[in-house]
Amino acid sequence: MPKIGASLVLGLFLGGVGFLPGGAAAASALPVDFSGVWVASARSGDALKPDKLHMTERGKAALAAFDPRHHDSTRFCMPYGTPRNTLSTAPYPVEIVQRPERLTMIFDRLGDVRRVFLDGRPRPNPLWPTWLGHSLGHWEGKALVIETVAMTKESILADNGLPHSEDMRVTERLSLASRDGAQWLIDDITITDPALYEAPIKVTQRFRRADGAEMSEGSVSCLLDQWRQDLERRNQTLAGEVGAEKNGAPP
Amino acid sequence: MTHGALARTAALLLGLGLLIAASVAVAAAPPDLTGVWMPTAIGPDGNRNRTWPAKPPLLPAVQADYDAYRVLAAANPEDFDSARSCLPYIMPRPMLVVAQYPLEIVQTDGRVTMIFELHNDVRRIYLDGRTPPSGLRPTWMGYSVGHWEGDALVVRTTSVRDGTIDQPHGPSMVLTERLRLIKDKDANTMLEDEITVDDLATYAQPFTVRNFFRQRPGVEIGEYFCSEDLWQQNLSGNATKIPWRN
Repeated sequence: MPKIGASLVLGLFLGGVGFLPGGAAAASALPVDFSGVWVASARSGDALKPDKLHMTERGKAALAAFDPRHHDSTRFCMPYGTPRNTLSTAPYPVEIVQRPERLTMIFDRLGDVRRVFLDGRPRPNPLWPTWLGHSLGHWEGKALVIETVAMTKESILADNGLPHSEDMRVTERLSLASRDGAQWLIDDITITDPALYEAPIKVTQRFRRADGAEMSEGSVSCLLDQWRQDLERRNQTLAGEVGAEKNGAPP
Repeated sequence: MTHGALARTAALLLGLGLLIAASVAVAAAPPDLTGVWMPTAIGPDGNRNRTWPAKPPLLPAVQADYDAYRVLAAANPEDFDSARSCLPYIMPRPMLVVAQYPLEIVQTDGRVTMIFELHNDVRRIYLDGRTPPSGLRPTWMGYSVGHWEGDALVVRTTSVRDGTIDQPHGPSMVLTERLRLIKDKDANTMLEDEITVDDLATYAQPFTVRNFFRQRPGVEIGEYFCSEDLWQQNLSGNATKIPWRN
C-alpha cells in the first residue's frame, strides 16, 4: 500500500512539475537568445555574383537558362525559400522566436517561416524537398550551428537566378555581436553544392536589431503592391536611422 | 498504529503537501500552449460546434447588404470565393476555421505567436503589458495584447481591417478571446477559444463564438502556398495570367 501511495504521490508531484516551466520557455535557459526583430544589412563585395563563383558546367547551364519571368518564385507570390530568404538584403525584417527546443525565423516575406529544431531529433526518412528545407541546430558555445538540407530546386539563391540542386547543404553559424552600442546578428553561411559549384560559397549575412521595424502580413505584401511599397519605404527609413549614422558600420 | 498504517499516513501527508505545492506551482505558472493544434468542428461534449451564429444580430442596414450578398453569392459562387484571391483571412476568421489546417502556437516570455498553416498567417500576441500603439493601420490579424487570468489567456484585439461581406465588421470592433486548455469527455486535452465580438456599428449587441482545437504532437506544419498551382502551371510551360499582376 505505501508503495502505491508513494508512486501516486510521485505522479502528482511530477504532474505538478510538468506545469512548472509553464507560461514560457525561460530565456535564461538558452546559451544565447536571438529573439527579436532584425533587418538585414547590405553586403559589400557580394559573394553571390556569378563571376566570383566557380560553377560547374551544369551550374553554368542552369544559370544561363534562368528567366526571371518564369523562374523567380517571388513573382508568383511563392516563397523565397531557404537560403534566399536569409541571404536577401531587401529591407524586410525577420523575427526570431526562440525556445530551448526550437528557433523559429518568421521572415516578413512570402510565407517564409523557418523552423530550426534544437531538440536533437533525427531527420525524417524519407525527406522530401521543400521551400524552407529541413533545419537542425546545435549549440557550439555561444554560436548556434544550423544544418539545412532538402530544399526544392525550384528556389534560387538570389535574385540573379543562381541555381542549386536538391543535394545542396547549407551550414549556418549564428552569433551575436555588438558594435557602437548596437546589436547585430551574424550569420556565417556556407553553401555546399558540388554538382553546381566547384567550391563552397561562403557569405556572412549581418542583421541589425530593429525591434521597432513593422512586420507586414506575409503574402499580403505580394498581393498588395501599394502596401508593400509603403512598407519598404518606411523600413528603409528605419534601417537608415538605426544603421550607419547612429550605430556605426557593421562589425 | 501499525507500521503499515504509519507509512500510509506519512505517504498521505507527504502526498497532500506535494499536491498543495504542485497546485501552487500550477496557479503561479500559466499553462504552456506551445504546440501544433488542429481545429475541430466537434466540441468537447462530442457535439457539433457552430463557429458563427446562424443569424448574427446584424443592424438593419448591414442586414440588407448581407441579404443582397447571399442572393448574389448563391448565383455566382466563384466570384465570392475569398480563397481565390489568396488574401489572408481577417480576424476572427483564422481562429474560427474548422478545415484541417493546423495552427502552431509558440509561447515565449512576454509573447504568444500563432502561425497558421493556411496562408501562413502570423498572429503576434504581446503579453508584456504594452498598450497598442496609436495610429495603427488596420491589418488582417489586428493588434493583440493579452494577459493571464488564472488558466485563461485573455486576448484583446483591435485595429482589424473591415470584415468581408459574409463576416462583416468595422474599424471599431474589439475582439476579446479567452484561450484555455480544457478536457473533452474522454479526458483528452483540447484548446478552447471563446471569442466575444463587440462591434456596435455592425451588430446590435456583442455575441460570443467558440472554436476548439485538438493537440497534434509530432505533427509539423506543412508548406501551404496559395499560388502553388499557378506556379506549377507556369513551370510546366503553360503561360498563365497572374490575376493580381495585370
